[in-house]
Amino acid sequence: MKQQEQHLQRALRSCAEQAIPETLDLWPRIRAQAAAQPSIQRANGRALRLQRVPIALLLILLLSGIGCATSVVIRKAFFEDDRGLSDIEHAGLVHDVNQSETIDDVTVTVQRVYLDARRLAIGLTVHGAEDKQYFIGSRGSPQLNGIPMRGSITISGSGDWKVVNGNLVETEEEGFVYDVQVFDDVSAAITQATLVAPGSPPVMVRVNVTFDVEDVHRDAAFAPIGPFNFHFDVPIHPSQRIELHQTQQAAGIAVTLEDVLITPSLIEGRLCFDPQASGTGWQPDITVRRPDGWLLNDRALPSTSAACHTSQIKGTGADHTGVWTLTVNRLEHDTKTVSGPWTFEFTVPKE
Amino acid sequence: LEKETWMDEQLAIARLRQGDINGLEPLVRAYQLRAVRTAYLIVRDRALAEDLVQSAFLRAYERIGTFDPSRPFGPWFLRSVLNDALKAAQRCARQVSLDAPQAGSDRLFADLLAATTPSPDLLAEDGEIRQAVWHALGKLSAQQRTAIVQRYYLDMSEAEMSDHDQCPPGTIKWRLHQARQRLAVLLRPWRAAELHTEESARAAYSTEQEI
Repeated sequence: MKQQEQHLQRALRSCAEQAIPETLDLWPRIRAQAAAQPSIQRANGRALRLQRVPIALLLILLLSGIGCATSVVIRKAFFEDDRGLSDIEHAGLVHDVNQSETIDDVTVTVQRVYLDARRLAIGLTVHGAEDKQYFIGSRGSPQLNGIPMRGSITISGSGDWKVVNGNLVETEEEGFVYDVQVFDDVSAAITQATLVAPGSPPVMVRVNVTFDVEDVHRDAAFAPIGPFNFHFDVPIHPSQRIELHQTQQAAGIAVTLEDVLITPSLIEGRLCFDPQASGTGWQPDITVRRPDGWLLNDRALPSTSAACHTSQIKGTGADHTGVWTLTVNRLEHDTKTVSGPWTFEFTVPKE
Repeated sequence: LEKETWMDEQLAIARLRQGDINGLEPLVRAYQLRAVRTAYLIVRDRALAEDLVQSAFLRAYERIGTFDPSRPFGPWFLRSVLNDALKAAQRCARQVSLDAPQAGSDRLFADLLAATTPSPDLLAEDGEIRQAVWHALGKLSAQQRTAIVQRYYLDMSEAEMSDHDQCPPGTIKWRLHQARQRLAVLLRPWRAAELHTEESARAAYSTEQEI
């Protein structure tokens, strides 16, 4: 093996070893998931049904010669890429916008948008020259009613589909879902608007967002095309906050679940540890069981203070009412793991 | 596999075939680290990599009846993980934090637009090759990245890759050639002038992105 290849091999190992520590232990999660096997089977069946919908839609479009495959691309991405997004798609909560802007023969179209107290998801497409492929990113932070959002952005590219030699094949990406998860309430006004009871009239919020586009295959220095500016009004979907302040003890550590916020796309829990386990760098590994039996797994997002962590887990389903269980399986640190579990149960009442 | 390990694995698979989920534990303990690290290099997201591997283990449990017990479990399982990771990576999810406390948020914004090289301050830190390779890997297509991981992380031969991907050896050779060539371009030494020009452009861009 050449020296350069040996460097590459060492670098790959180093990247992997640094990110995934030897202490990794998936067995408790796998055992818990297997114990709920009937739920898993139900979940898998539902996911398969959801995935079939856009493919079936596309086949109809191809056969009928109607050229609106881009919206199918976005639908497909909303369905497949994220459990929370597939929930809101399934519940019919995504708002059509269909706003375009063109710069230098590149057209960005914001097709569909979803907004709740913790999440802004935008389905968009980028079209340019036929042989080009693009990435997209936002310039600055998106704004809600003029207030910048803080959180994390995920951009998911989605392949288009076409028929080649009689087979349906996935081609290069052209559709994207731009997804912003927010960690804190962006303003008192918006917080108030998001906490109204389900079924209340929709509260409209103005979204301002600016995108830049980059040619994927360009090797030259960073030179984005843009800015593509968009301003539109969308309804913000209501959320429910439940105050709990429940404390559980395990492994000599007290963990308190202060409150949960449930939006149509995710559940957020605020967890605080006692002083033994506080400090930065801790990451709780969490499983949530929904009232319908679905199991959701995730890790906490960045801590809100030295002793408290905000955890957002995608996928809340259509009906939030009933008994939920949130289990902290273990607390992980770079160098050590404290195993629980700390289990919390709470009920979301019917309105 | 050593004889003892082979026997343990056979015992575990026999328990799984009888519907005993506890048979999965020794297999998880034996293969989880390699599987998650492999998936991570392809999908570039730890939580997603863990989810993929967790699902792959549960699927192995469900489909153990289709597994030929005269063959080793590892390659059969890793094949499934590689396929899942490739599919997930083709959806091309890339994440970036908007939070200032996450060090270097302006740099992460540039990464969002797939910057072609790590910034000079990153290069000055320890592990500059690792950082450069990590950034460059992110610029490869999911299929090219998977090929690099198969060849250089999993140490698969071109023949094994050909068997795994069910395509001719020539295709594998060409895919690896293309991936290596692109990596070579992305990892080429940056001249001082290029660094200066690019950093200026990115700094200007980052200023506009502050939140």
